[in-house]
Order: sequence, then C-alpha cells, then structure tokens
Amino acid sequence: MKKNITKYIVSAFALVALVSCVKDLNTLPLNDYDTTSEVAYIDEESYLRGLAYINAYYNFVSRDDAGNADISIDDAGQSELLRQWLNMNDLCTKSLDIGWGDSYISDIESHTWTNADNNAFIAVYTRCMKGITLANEFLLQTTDDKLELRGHTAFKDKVAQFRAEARFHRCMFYYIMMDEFGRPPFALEEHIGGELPKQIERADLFIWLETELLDLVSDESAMPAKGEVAYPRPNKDAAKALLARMYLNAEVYTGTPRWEDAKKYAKQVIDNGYSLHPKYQELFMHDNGQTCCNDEFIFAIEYDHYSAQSWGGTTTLSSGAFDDVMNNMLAPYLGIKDVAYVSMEVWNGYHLNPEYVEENFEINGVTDWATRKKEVDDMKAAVQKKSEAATPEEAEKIVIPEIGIGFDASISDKRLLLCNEGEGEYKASISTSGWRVWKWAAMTSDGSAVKRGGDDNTDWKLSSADFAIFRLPEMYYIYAEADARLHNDVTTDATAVGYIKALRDRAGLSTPSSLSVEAILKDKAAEYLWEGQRRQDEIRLGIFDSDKNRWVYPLLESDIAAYNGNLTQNAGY
Amino acid sequence: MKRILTALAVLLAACVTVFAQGGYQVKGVVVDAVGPIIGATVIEQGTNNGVSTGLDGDYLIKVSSADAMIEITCIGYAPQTFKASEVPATVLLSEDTHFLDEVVVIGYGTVKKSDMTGSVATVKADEINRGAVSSPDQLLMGKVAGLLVTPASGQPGASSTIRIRGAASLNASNDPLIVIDGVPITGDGGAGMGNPLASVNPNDIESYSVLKDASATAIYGSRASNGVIIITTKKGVGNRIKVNYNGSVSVKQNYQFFNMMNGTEYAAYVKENYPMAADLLGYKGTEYNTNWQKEIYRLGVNTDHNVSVLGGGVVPFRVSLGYNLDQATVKVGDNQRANLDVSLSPKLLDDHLNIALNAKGIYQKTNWGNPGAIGNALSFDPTKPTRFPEGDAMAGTIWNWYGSTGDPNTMASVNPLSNLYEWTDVNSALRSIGNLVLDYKIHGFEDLRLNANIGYDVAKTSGEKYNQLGSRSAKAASPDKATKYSNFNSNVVFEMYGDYSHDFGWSNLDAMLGYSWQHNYVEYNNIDYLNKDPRWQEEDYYNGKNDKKEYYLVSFFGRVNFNVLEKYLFTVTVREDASSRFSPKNRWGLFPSAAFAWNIKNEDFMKNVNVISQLKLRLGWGRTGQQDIGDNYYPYLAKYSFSTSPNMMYDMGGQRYNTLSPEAYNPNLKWETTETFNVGVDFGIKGEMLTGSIEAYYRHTFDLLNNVSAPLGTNFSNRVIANVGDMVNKGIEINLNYNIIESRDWHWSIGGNATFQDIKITKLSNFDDTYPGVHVGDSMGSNEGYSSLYKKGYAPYTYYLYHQVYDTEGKPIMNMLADVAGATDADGNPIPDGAVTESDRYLTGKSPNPWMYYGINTHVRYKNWDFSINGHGSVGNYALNKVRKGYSYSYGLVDSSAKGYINNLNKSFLYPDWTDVMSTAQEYSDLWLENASFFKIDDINLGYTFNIGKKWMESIRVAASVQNVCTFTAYTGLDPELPSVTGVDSNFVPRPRLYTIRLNINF
Repeated sequence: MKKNITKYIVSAFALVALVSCVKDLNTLPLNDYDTTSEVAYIDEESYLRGLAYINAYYNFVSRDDAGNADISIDDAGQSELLRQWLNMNDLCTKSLDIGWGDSYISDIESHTWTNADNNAFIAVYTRCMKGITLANEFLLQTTDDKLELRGHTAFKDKVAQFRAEARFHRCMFYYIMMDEFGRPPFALEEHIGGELPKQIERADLFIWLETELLDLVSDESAMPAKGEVAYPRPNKDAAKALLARMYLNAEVYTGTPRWEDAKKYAKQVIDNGYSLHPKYQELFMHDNGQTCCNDEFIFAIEYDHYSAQSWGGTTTLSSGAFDDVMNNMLAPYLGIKDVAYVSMEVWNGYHLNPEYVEENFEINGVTDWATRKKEVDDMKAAVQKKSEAATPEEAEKIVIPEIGIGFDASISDKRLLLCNEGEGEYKASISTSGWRVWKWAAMTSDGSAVKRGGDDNTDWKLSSADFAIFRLPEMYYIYAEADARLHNDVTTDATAVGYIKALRDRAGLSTPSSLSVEAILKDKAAEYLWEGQRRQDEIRLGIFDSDKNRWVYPLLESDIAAYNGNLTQNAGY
Repeated sequence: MKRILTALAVLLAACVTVFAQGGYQVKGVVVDAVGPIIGATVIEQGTNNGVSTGLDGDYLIKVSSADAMIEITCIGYAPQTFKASEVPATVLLSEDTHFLDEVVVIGYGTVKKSDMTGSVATVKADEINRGAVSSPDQLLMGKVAGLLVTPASGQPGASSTIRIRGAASLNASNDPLIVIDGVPITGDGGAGMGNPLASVNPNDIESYSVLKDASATAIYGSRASNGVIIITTKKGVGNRIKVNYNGSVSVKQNYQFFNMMNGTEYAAYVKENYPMAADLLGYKGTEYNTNWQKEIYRLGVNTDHNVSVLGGGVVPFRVSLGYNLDQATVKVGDNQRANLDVSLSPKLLDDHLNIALNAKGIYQKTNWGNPGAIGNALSFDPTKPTRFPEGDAMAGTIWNWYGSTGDPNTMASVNPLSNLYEWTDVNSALRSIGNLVLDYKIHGFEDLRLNANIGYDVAKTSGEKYNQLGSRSAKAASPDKATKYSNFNSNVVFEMYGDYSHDFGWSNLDAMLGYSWQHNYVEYNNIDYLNKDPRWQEEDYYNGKNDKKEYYLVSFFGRVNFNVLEKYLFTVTVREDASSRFSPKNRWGLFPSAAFAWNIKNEDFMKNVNVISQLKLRLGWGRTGQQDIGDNYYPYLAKYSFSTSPNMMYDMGGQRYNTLSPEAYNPNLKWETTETFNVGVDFGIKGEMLTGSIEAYYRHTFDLLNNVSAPLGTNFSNRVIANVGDMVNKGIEINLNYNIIESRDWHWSIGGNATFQDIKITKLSNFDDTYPGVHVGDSMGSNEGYSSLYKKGYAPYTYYLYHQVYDTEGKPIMNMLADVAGATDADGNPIPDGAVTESDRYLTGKSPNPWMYYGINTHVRYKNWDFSINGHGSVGNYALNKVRKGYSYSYGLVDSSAKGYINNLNKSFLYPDWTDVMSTAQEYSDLWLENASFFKIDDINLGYTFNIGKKWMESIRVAASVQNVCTFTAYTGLDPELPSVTGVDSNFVPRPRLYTIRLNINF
C-alpha cells in the first residue's frame, strides 16, 4: 500500500513537471490592434493608414493621445513638430516673443542657444528624423516583392502612389533638417535596425532633395497631380512648392543661387488653378480647411478639435496669444455678441515686438500708449463691475466701453490682426506689454466664435484651424523676389509686381510699380506673420544674426553621443 | 542571556492557560545555575493544565494523578519531564544550546539560524508594538538594517516605497519581490491594488524574512535583484480552539500647515504692490478671510477589527476576518478593507504528506478624493468666500473664478472645495491569493522530500471617475468625460522541488533541485463617456483604451547546503531563468551564488571565551537578474499598432483614418544582472546582553535595463530600452540590541540599526564617457521638465541644477543664475559664454539617496506594563522644495491677473523683491535644494496586560499609542520624507498624527 502511494505521488510530481513546458515563453501580443511587422499590412486600407501616420507626423505627438508623446521628451504638447518648428523660425526673430519662462524659449528668443539640447531642438530634430524613419519603413514594407509575397498586387498602383507621397513627406522632413540643422544624419531604408547613418553635408542633402523632388514632380511619377487626391493631402504642386522654396534659398544651402529655378517652379504652381482667398482673416479660422476657405492652400496640416487633436500648432497660436483683457476688447470689435471670447483659453504668452510692427507694417492711427492704457483700465473696471452686479437688471445697466484694438484698421494693412493693451515695449515682466496677435482667433467664417465650456461636451479647448505649409502667396513672393534678385534686387516685371499687387490689394494697400527685395520681404513680413517663414527671409536678407554660425542650429548632442562619432557638431557650437 | 530569557518567559507564560483540576498536587521550585527561574511553564502533558513559576521560581500544580507526566519548560532551556510523583523539589534547568536555532524561512525551505550563510533578517510580527497599522509594510519601517521603508503619503490606500540595500536598477523595477506563503506577489495589482503588501492583513502575519544578499536571494533568480521579503502567515497550532480579537480605533489629525497669507494680509499686500490685481480681491465689495487649509482638513478616523480562530488537531486550521476603515484627514477620501484568511495544514500518511492550503481574500473600497485640493488650499485667494453668498445667482454653490459670461476661467485655480465635493473617484478591488502545497516525505526513503506548490494571485479592480454635473470642473473640462475602468491581473505559479537531506554525523547535507513556472497576465480597460445624466449611456461613448498582455517565467534551480562539524557551512545555489520578455536567443539567464559561514564560537578555542556567546562570520557572492522593465511586455518584438483613438485620425483626402505605425523595439534585449558580495559578522556578548551584526555589501549591476538615446534613423523612437550601463551600490549595515536592565520586574532594551550606503552609476553609455546623461526626475515648473540626471560617477537622481547667484547680503537674486559653462581657459577654468543656458546646469552631487539611514527603538516593561518608542531617520538625503519655489515670487499676480484671477502668497517663502516672471533656469536653481535629513519619532506606545486566566478568557491587553509624533529636520517643507523617489516635493497628502487605542483579547 505504502509503495503504491509512493508510486502515485512520485509519478504525479513527475507528470506535472513534464507537462509544464518552456514553449510558453514564445508570446505574441494579445491586443487586436497590435500586430507584428510581418502581418501589419493586411489590405489596401492598412497601407493608407500607414501613410496616414507619416502625413500626420507634423502635428500628431502620438498615435493615440495628444497628451502623450511617442518619443521620449519632457512635454507632449510642446513636442509637436509644427509648434517647435514655428518657434525655431519666428521666435528667433522679432516677429514673436513668448512671455513664458521656459529656458528654450529665452535661449532662442535672445539668440543664446548653445549645443545643449533644448526642447525645441529635440522636438524638431527628433520628430523629423522619426518621420523620415517612418517613411523609410513604409518604403521597405511596400516594395513589389513584399506586395507580391502578401498577395497584394491587385492594388499595386495605389500603393505606388502612397509610396510617392511617403517620399514627399520624407523630403519635407529632410528639408527641415537641412534648413534648421544643416548637416543631419542621413538615413534611408537600409538603416532601420542596420548600420548607423552617416552625416550628410548641407549641399549634398540639397542635391539629394532636388533629385528626389524632381523625380516626384516628373510626369512618370506616381505622385498624384492636383485633383487626384483631395485636400489636405499633398500633390505634385506641394513638391513643386518645396522645390521653389529650396531654390529661393539655394545660395544659403549650397553657395550657388538658383533664382531662375525658383521662378520656374513657383510659376508652375501659381498657374495650376489656385486663387487668392478674398478674406485674409478667414485663412486662419477654424473652418479654414473647408472648401469655403482653402482655395489658396497648396499643402496644409489638418487640425480638428475632435478627431485630429493637438496641444501645439494652431491651438497654441490661438490660446497662447490671448489674455482675458484681449478677449474683452476683441469680442465687441469682431462683432461677437453672445459670448465674450474669441480664444479657447487664455495662456497669455505670445506677443509681437512693437519694433517689428514699426519696421515692417503699414500701421496707422495708433493710440498713444498712455491713452490706450486708460481705455483698457476703464474697460476692465466696467467688466469687473458688471460681473459683480447684484441683479441682472443692474448688470444690464453697466455699459462696457468698446475700445477697439488700439489703431485705426481702416487706414492700415488689413492683415494686421493685432491689438494692444496699453503697455508699449514688450517686456517679459509685464505680461500685457507688446502687440498681441489675434490672427488665429477662435472663430469660424460665418462670424461666430467657438463656444467655451463643457455644456455641449465638445473638445472646445482645441483648435480646428488647419495650418498651411504652402499657400499661394508664398509662390508670388518667391517669383517676385527671384525676379528682383535677377535684376539687381529690384523687379519691375509686370507679372512679379502684379502678384505682389494682388496681395496688397487684398490688404487694402497701394503698390508701387517697382519692388525691391526689401519691399517684397517687408510685405511678406505682414502676410506671413507667425507662419514660420521669417528666419529664412532674414537669413536671405543677411540680417538674421551677426554670428553666421547661428544661421544653422546645433545638432542634438544626445544624437551625436548615441552615434559614437558618425556625427560631428556644426561649426561654432 | 538568562535574564532576558527569563523575562521573555514571563511574558510568554502570561499567555499560557492557568487552571488546575483536582487530583495529585505537585509543588516545588525551578532554578537554573544562577537562581530561580520566573515564569517557567509547568504543564501536565496532554492537557491544557499548567501553571507558571512565580517570583521565587515556585509553583504549585494539581494534576489528575500521580502518574501524570509533568513537563517543565522555559524558553532558552532544555525542557524536562517527570512523573508527577517523582518531581524533585528543586528542578534545575540547563541552558539549551539549541536555543539560537530559531528556524528561519528562506527561499524554498527553512534553515536553522545558526546554519544560515546568507544575509537574512527576520522580524516576528508579534515582537512589534504598534499603533494603527493598515498595511504590513509599516511594521518594517526602521526595523531592519539595509531596509528602507518610506511610508506612503497620507492618502488612504497609497503605497509605501520599499528598498532593500538601495536601488539596483535605473529603469527597471526597484521593488523587492514579495512572497506570501510561497506565492510571489505581483506588484501590479491594478488601480486600488497598487500596494502588493496591502493584500495581506497585518494581523495575519507570523513573520517576515528579509533576504538581502545574493546568496539568500539568488534562489529566486530573476526577480530577486532588489531583495526578497518573505511573509509567513499564522497557522493553526495547539490542541484547543483559540479565539483572538484585536481591534483599534485611531483619531488622525493633520498637524502641519503652510504659513499662507490670511485674507487681510493678502488684500493689503496686493493693494500696495500690485494695484492692477486689486480689482480681483474679494467678492462684490466684501473681502472675506477664508483659511482654505482649515476648510479642507478634518479629524480622520481609522478603525481596525480582527477576529481569528485557530486550532490544531488532525487538521490544524486558522481562520481570520479583518476589517479596516481608514479615513483621510482631507475631508473627502477613505479606504475600507475586509480581509479573510483561511489556512489548513493537515498531515497525512503517518505525517509523511504535509498539506498546506492557504487562501486569502481581500475586498477593498477606496474613495480617493482629490489630492489637488491640497495645492489649491494653498493657492486659492483667501479673500473669497467658500460659497457664493445669499442673493447671488449662484448662491450656495462653491465659489470659483468665472468669466463675465458665467463660464469658468479655466486658467484659474480651483476652489479646493470643488476638488473635494465636485469630483468622484472611487474604486473597488477584489484580490485573492492562495496556494496549495503538497510536501511528501517518501515512505522508506525519508531523506527525500518532494514539494509541489500551486499558487495564484488574482486581482480585479474597477472604478469610476467623474465631475459632478453642472459643477465648475465639469464646465471647465474639454470635453467633460466620465471614466469607467477595470483591471484584471492574474499571476499563476507552479513550483516543484525535491529535497534530499542527510545527517552523516560529522556533517549534514541538504540538496534541493526544483522547477518553477509562472504566468502573468494583465488586462486593462478604460472607457470615457461624455459626462451626462444618466451616465454611462452607450450613445455617450467618447473613446476607450484597452490593453491585454502576458509574460511567462520558467526556471530551474538547485541548492546544496553542507554543514561540517557545525562550524563550516557552505551553500551553493544555481538558478536558470527564462523570461518571455526577451528574444529566444537572450531568454535564458544563469544566476549562481555561493556562500560560506564559519561558526567561530563552535571552535574549541572559543569554547571558554565566556564573554562571547555567539560569533559567526559569513561570506557570500551571487548573481541575480532583472527583467521587470515595466509596461512593455514585448520589448524585443518588432510591433505595429493600429490606432484606435477617435481623437487621433488623419484626413487622407475626404475621409479620416486611424493610423498604423511601427513601434520602437530592441531585439538584443537581455537580462540585467546584479552581482553581490556580502561579508557579515553576527555576534553576541555577555550572554546575549549585547547582540548584533555588522555586514558590508557590494552590489554591482551591469547590463542595466536603461532607457537610452537611440541613434535617430535606426529605430522608431529617440529612446529605446537597452542593456546599457553599470551601477555600484556599496554599504555597511550595523544592527545592535542592548539589554540595559533585565530584572524580575523590569526590562529595558535599546535596539538600533544603521545603514551607510553609497550608490553610483559607473557606466551609462556604450560609446562615450562624455555621454551627457539621461534626463530624469520631475518638473519644477508648470510645464514638464527634469530635475535630475543619470550620469556616470553620480548617484541616481542626482540633482542637475543652476547655481543661484546671491547679493552681498546673501539674498538670492531673482533670475540670476551663474554663467559657468563655456570654453575653458589655459588653467582649465571655465570662461562664461555670456548667457545662462542649459549648459550652465551642474551636477550637484546631491540626491534623494541618504548616505545613512537608521532606526532606533527602546522597550521598557514593568510588570504588566509595557512601553516602547520607535524612531527612524536618514542623513544626507536632499530634496527639491517645489512648494517653496512656487510661493517665492509674486509675479504670478501679474500674469494671473491678466488671465483673470489671483493666487495667494506664502509669508515664509516669499522674496519681496522677486517680482519678475521666473525663468526656467530660476525654477531649476540650487536655491530650492534643501537638506532633507531628518529624525522622526514614529510612535510611542503604552500597554497593559490583564492576565485573566479564566476558562473563557485568557488575557486582555489594552494599549494606547501616538504615531507620527514629531520630526526633527532643517527642511522647510512640511515633511522631509518624500513619497516620491525623485525627491521633488510637490504637495503630497500630509501624513497625519494618529492617536490610537488598541484592545486585544485572547479567549
């Protein structure tokens, strides 16, 4: 009996030991939304979805949550590529001052940045390089061989078009790397999980980009032509616009000017059926991506308060610029009666230096600062009194003075969507100082403002305004400037002057018959305020910084360290 | 030693049944070599009939007959047995040399204390005097050298941080492995079950074994890098059913407040210095004077009730039921917990088959409250009323900053009462831990034992979070979402080992070989609905997240203990572990250990050295592994994810699509390994009057699982988890206990332990020594940022800050930080580059890690009275006082008044001339770095035991205690003992003081 028990127990132990096995260790993801790279692409739509992430990489900080970055970075909202790209191109000029104390902001603002990684550099550098890597991976996964292997040859042509678009985005990201950082690491498909990429010189990258873009705009290219894909997807014109922009700055990148090429590609885009939108302000409203208002957009980044969320981009441009007083003065001015707000929130950070306004803009009828301050104080007092009135009737009696925006808009440039609160020179320590920009006020083209508050349960804090990477006026400026550059910096060419005239007509300004480069760029300073163009323009004008080393930003030190010597830092850092 | 033992025996005897039945009477005296023994137990064998000896060692017992067997026992002495008729008048008990051979629970078995080679500290739960204890970790605070328990914040249900010999990992988990009755507990129990130790009722704990060095922990291999805490729960014993009730009631008081301006002071300050903000003072012309800190706090109550029933016999059993209610001192927030613990331990087949069945069930309900109220109570304008006054459109509702159109100002601070009363965050959690152990000694070959253990740890939690409809917070949310979530965690373990043990006379061999399989599964669901009435309607679905994942661990392990002549002890262990988190080629890790101990006292030459009663030298070496990298269970796998969020879709030309994207991965990931050396000496002097141990350890972690910069262009993130870096962790631990007075009525002892530690990262990049380091820590501002750097040559979380510049009077100048970085001159001194930038930050050499931490305690007993004080402290730990930073400058009034609100200021922290916007550099100034060394008196306890000795009741103990008595520190914040590992102090829920009355009844 005892022997039997022993036998049973011992064999039971042995059995259990054998049954449990080490095969369990081969686990695979359990979520239905997770998959291995081998089987990620299952149908035509999955390829489009793969492309969508590359296309969204200008404003998405992760695939699932606008509050969580998919790269390791201090702050998700401040890690958006577009937001920091704007900072790197406007904050470093007088066109933008930011009153928050972040060190990267003051470093860029005061031209004291060093080779130490700051949040703006990290965001732009990392996101561009990740965008490039995403495009590389997409190209790896969509080769003919792979399609055949998966049995996806039926929609081979569609995928070919997606590949062309992915290559365009890769060009955009590399273009930003070339423009901002000069000599980035150069990674193509084979570098994923492979050898460390090598550094590419700025002129060489220019040549690579030119070749790649010329191929994309060629007739044989699968890149869609205008009309083949709907807004906001890029088409051949976007590639041409990028070429035009690159040629305009070619001298900066390569030492050799390419004015004729700049003109050529700008003209090709202009002549492809775009038109100036009659109302300038509507280009920056929350419905600017709709057919009502996107007639001059060549390539834009889509934002939507519900479905394409971001705490950067146009949300920052809007809420970042507003304070409470500004809302109270602007709402009546803009005819917003039912609600007193024309911004989603009031972050009170973005300002415009009065010097910049005086230097570049045709602004008239400016109230002197002291009078203005009194106007603002009176209005504030009335608002305060009204909000504390004991009864609604009493509140009704209190009239809030409408104080306008501090200058006479009827005799000024109509693009100056500015106002002031009575404090002159911008100072970080006076949060109401400087001019304030309401270009991105939270309105829609029907004249209504975005409703604040959670009553109807919308994502009202986020902007739906799209951001145009390329709009038609830029092509006008490129054409005109390139023509001027070809003619001792002054253009009298009817087409060139006509383009600028069209823009100035829209702004309610007269146009002389000849235009210098300075005059063209001065007009552009008004037209393109806070659209990420100013740094390039100042560099081309030669006025950006006396230290030419600062004309490119430093490479990321952490990337250099991770590379073990494949990269060297830019000169002067 | 005898005196201590005597004293212990008295205490013990007090609990022994004392009643006699008629029959034969025996009386006499029990003595030892020195004199009478007080409290020795005289018992009639096979019955409950027994007495204990009195002050002169005398006793009188009535037994059933002259033939009854009488056993005389006393702890520390060899027991003696006589026939009742043959008991000598004076019984001489001799010291039991095996007294020290207390059995210690170690991994996969037990070992006699004298045979132990590794560094293991044991704490018996009933040795601990205590006040209100709602989680077992609290019992370990300050008790063991090398074990640092940082108590949780004052939020009920929050978990403490436990570190054994410092942190060994940078990115992987630093929590020790917790094993409860043989079941390894997962640290990730889901929301509401985050504290693995909270899953066991403190009243059910028999003992803790804290395994510190690798020779002790390596048998647990993969999860043992951070040490192991083995908890053994109480089991059924004895031969009659015993019932115990243990209960306490505590009052919790929040006793520390920040020195904020009151309404009058604040109004005067604003009017004088910031007239532009004066409009915003008061409400409708009335300036109120509200003390928001008073408004949010209350007296909390903690009450705890436990009943246990235990008994021996054929099926020894123990059943216990516990209930704990813990109320926060913040007005909203409490935690309720019910525990059920059942254990059965029958022995079958002539005691050859030992079965242990343990099952624990925990139900916990937590109302988290909203800790945001604590910060807002400091900031909120004190000139405002708590609620809108009578006659107002919003009369009676909580006052908040609204704009002129009645919409909430989303930038403004929130009334702390809104945080408390307009937010619901509730959670309920069910968890069960249990196992079945079969231990079979083979018939006919009793040296071989087979042991199988099937265990589980399953937790299910669910909760809801939402704003009250129509409240300020609901209106300010974008959109206002109500969240429902649930977690399911399951951890199943199967282990088996065979153990062969043989006594050769001159030596003793114990060899063990085993196998372990473990499966961990986690499921998480989170659904946001639009917050409407009624809630949770399908049509209000907003978005959802869910995640399912699992990992497996498979291991083979073995151990050999070899004991020669009770003098030389050898232990060798080997464990081979595999984790599914690594690719097949890196999956297996080998974790060996070896240890040697020399029982010097047992050598002939020491036999006559009477002053030394115990002396042992221990040497150990071993390796352990780490694979707990956190959330990512498939880090080596190239993975694609389809986005499911409706908020992150992109318009691809007329239609919006969710995206598909590859994720960063590292196919080369492998085990992080910690190598440990340990040297220890255990000693006892003057008959155990002074006992203690001194140990030195050296831990070297290599292949650190680390979040490092990835070369861009090669992977899908700028950081990937990789095995990069080394860390060294050295320390000396001292543990001493001294019995100052040991007499008939008096006992007074002082115990203490201290740990000196030094932690340094010794390598952080595979490429380059100039690697700039990894940003870690917390933000000091409102945006995210980092306070510390991981860098070679420095301790983890070493603060990375700017140098503050001071004026001639020593006052700090706002936004003046030293410009130190730039090129260096011929002498190597830095030449400033003219601007203060990131490169001017420096590694302060200071970190949240103390260089020394210690615990001390003293116990006094006089007759039935007992009294104890426990304290603990640390030296050399620094903290960044973010609260002080937040209230040091008044520029906030400028900025916030432009946004339509104002915030209060602090009288102690405000620099009057700091009126500018604070730069990031100023936020990360070393001005905020403070020495947070402290000493705390944790508790003072006083108790009295009534020995009833009746059939229906044995004894009653009544005790009173004060916890969190006081703190000695130079730190200017409320509490220098920060719950955050990063050392940034940002308004955690304060730990209250507790006044407790405890009642313990033994039936």
